[in-house]
Amino acid sequence: MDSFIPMIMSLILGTSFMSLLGALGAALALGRSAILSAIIVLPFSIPTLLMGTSVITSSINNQDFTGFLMIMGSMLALGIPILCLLTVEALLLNYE
Amino acid sequence: MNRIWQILKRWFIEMGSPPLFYRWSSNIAPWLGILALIILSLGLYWGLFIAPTDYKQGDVYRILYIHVPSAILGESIFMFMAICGFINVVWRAKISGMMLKSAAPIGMSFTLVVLVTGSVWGKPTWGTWWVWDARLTSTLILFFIYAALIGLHSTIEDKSKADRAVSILSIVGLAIIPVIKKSVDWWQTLHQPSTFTLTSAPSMSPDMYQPLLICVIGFYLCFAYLLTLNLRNEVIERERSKNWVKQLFRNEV
Repeated sequence: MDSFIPMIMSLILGTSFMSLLGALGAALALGRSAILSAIIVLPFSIPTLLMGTSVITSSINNQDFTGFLMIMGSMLALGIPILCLLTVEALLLNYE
Repeated sequence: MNRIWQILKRWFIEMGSPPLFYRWSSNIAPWLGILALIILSLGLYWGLFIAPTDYKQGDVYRILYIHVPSAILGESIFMFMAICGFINVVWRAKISGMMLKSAAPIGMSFTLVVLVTGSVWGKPTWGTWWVWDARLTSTLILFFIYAALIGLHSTIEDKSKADRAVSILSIVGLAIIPVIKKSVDWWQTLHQPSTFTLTSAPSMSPDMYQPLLICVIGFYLCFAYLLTLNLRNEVIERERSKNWVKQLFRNEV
C-alpha cells in the first residue's frame, strides 16, 4: 500500500510524456508504414520506463524515490514545450 | 566589433555551401587521415605494448584502449548530430542535414564496437557476455536510436525532407545521453563508474591514462576523417544535377 502513491505519480508523469512522444512519432511516420512509428517511438520511451520502474523498485525497498520522480517531472516539463514544437515541425514537414 | 562578426558569419556560411566545401575539404581530407593514423597508432602501440599490466585483470584490461574511446565517440557523435539537427531545423542549412546523415552510420558503428568489445571484456572479468545492467542497456538503446534515425532517413523519398525529419528525431534522442552518462551513478550496476571526468584527477595511474587520452584524440580525428569522406560523397550525390558537379567531372574525365 505504501508504494501506491508513488506508482500513481510516476504513471501520471510517465503517461503524459509517452503520449507526447507518441504524437511526435505519429507525426513523423504520417502516411508511411505503421511499423516505422513503432521503431521510432520505442527506443525513445525507454528512459521514461527506466525512471518509472526505478520509482517503484525504490519505493518497494523503502528507499528514497523522490529523485527519480523529480527527473520524470523535469523530463515532462522540458518535453511539453520542446516535443510540441517538434511535433508541429514534423506535421508541417508532411504537409508542405 | 559588429563588422568583424558580420564577416565571420559570412565566411562561416560560405564555408558551408556545398561547392566551396567540396573544394576546401579535398585539401584537408588526406592530412586529417595521416594525422589520425599517426596519433591512433601511437596511442594504440603505447597502450597495447608499453603500458604496465593491471595487477588484478592482467592483460585483459588493454581492451580499454578501444572500448573507452569508442564509447566516448558513440555518445559525442550523437550530440554532434543533435547540434546539426538543431541548425538544420532552425536555419535550414543544407550542409548540416547532409552532415547529420553522414555522421549516423559512423556513430552506429562506434556504438557497435563498444557493445562488442564490452562483451568480450565482460566474459573474462564478470564471467558473462551480457547482463541487463543500466549502462549496457542504455548503450544498446543508443544503438537502436541510431538504427531508427537511419531507418527513418531511408523511408522518405525527398532527401531534404528526410534530413529535417531525422533532425527532429535526433533532438529528441538527446535525452538518452544524460541517462547513459549517469546510469553508473543512479543505479547499482556491475559496470564500474567512469574514470575520466573533466573536473577531477583520474583514478587510474598516469602511465595507463596517458595512452588512453591519446587514443581518444586519435579516435576523434578518425571520426573527422571518416565524416569528411562520407560528407563529400553525400554532397556529390545530392548535387549531381547541379552545374558545378557536372563541370567538376567534365574537367576530370
